[in-house]
Amino acid sequence: MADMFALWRWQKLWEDRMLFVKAFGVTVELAVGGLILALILGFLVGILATTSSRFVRALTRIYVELFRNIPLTLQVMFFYYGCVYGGIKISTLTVGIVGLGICSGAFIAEIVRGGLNAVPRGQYDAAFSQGLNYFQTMTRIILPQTIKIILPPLGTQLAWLVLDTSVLSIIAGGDLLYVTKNWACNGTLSYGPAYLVTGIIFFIICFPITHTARKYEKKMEVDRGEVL
Amino acid sequence: MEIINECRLLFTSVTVPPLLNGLLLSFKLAGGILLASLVAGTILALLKTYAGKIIGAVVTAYVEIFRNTPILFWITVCFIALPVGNQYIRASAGLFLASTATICEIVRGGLNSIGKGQIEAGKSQGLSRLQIIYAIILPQCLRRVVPNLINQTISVFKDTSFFGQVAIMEFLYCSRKLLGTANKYTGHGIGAMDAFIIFGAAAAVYFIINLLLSTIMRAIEMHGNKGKVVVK
Repeated sequence: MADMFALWRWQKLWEDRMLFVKAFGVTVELAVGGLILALILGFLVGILATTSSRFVRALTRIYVELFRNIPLTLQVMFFYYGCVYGGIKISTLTVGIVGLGICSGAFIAEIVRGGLNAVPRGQYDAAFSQGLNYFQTMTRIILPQTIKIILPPLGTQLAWLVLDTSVLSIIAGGDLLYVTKNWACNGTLSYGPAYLVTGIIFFIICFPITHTARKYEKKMEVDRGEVL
Repeated sequence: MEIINECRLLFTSVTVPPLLNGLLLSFKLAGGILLASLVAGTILALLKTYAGKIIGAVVTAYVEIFRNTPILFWITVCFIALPVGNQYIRASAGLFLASTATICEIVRGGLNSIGKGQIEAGKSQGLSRLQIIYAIILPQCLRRVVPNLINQTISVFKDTSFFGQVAIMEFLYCSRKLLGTANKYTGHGIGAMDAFIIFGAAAAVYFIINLLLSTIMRAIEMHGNKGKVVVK
């Protein structure tokens, strides 16, 4: 076990540090790209899920259930191998961003739908009675309140998205976990330092996000408690 | 028509049994991991809530570490680093540890939602601490967190798909293997259609099972809410 973390293994890791920095960049790109796509999809679908049209609601339900109940691993493989065997040239980065975005979008849609439903009906009525149209009501009255409610679960979702970038290692996505595994497997078998560093990097990114989300959530509970 | 023909070539009496075996293995792994992590997570949650500051801090550290690092990371690490156990146990350990952290958080939420009066009532009846936890707190707590446990069950079942990464022949691994050798059965090169058929079928299986899981568990939850669960 002590040999796992021998000094020369750390030196080796330091020599190849740029590999890890680059992989970290890929992971960040995946997370940011995926997040942007997921937010767009999530808000769009979440809002559509509260409209009065039954058909539209059914469609949003199908999207959400489908992508929440099928493993992300399978979604990514489906997309990737579909393109590879279909002769479509596509980068693993694109596969990752689209895969993470669509999957995470389904979870965000559920969060947004829950947030919209938590805004009291009277807020809509009040807005309409002031002569605002649907679009104005949503952007000026409902969504600002919704966003306040859903910030904590959105934060948790963001942390999950960062963690889920590791799924890309399955299709050799060049992400942090893939590079860690590859670097450790090749030659020196220096698993110890490589995995330790990668674990710490993930923790340093995700812990502040989940921690802040939870603190904010507790604060909201207290605030609400005072109002009631 | 072409699709049906392709399906017939891909799913034969030779190719389907390995897939089913893989599915069975996924079931077994998910079931074992869930049961083990339900027990371990509940114990950790009880320790964190009732067992003093230092133990509480240790449990918190454990939970935070495992909830803020990727599951695939832990599966790989445990698979490489564990000195004992066969490949199944070594692979499962990572998912078990991660799932335990999540279930600990779920159960802790349930414990916090139970009023102090319940504990006091138990004490007034002369019950010991363990008796109060076992007979009064836990049954109420676990019933309350059933919806969250449904989600965790689905998560764990989905996460068994990671095991292919450490060469465990679970369902997705077998599906991928079938795709890799599809040309043997279809007699022509592997095309996009083969990928769509095989992964589509795998997706349908995961989807149906998870939908079924949530439906069954929701029914149990409704039953529990009626307050008619017989306590042995």
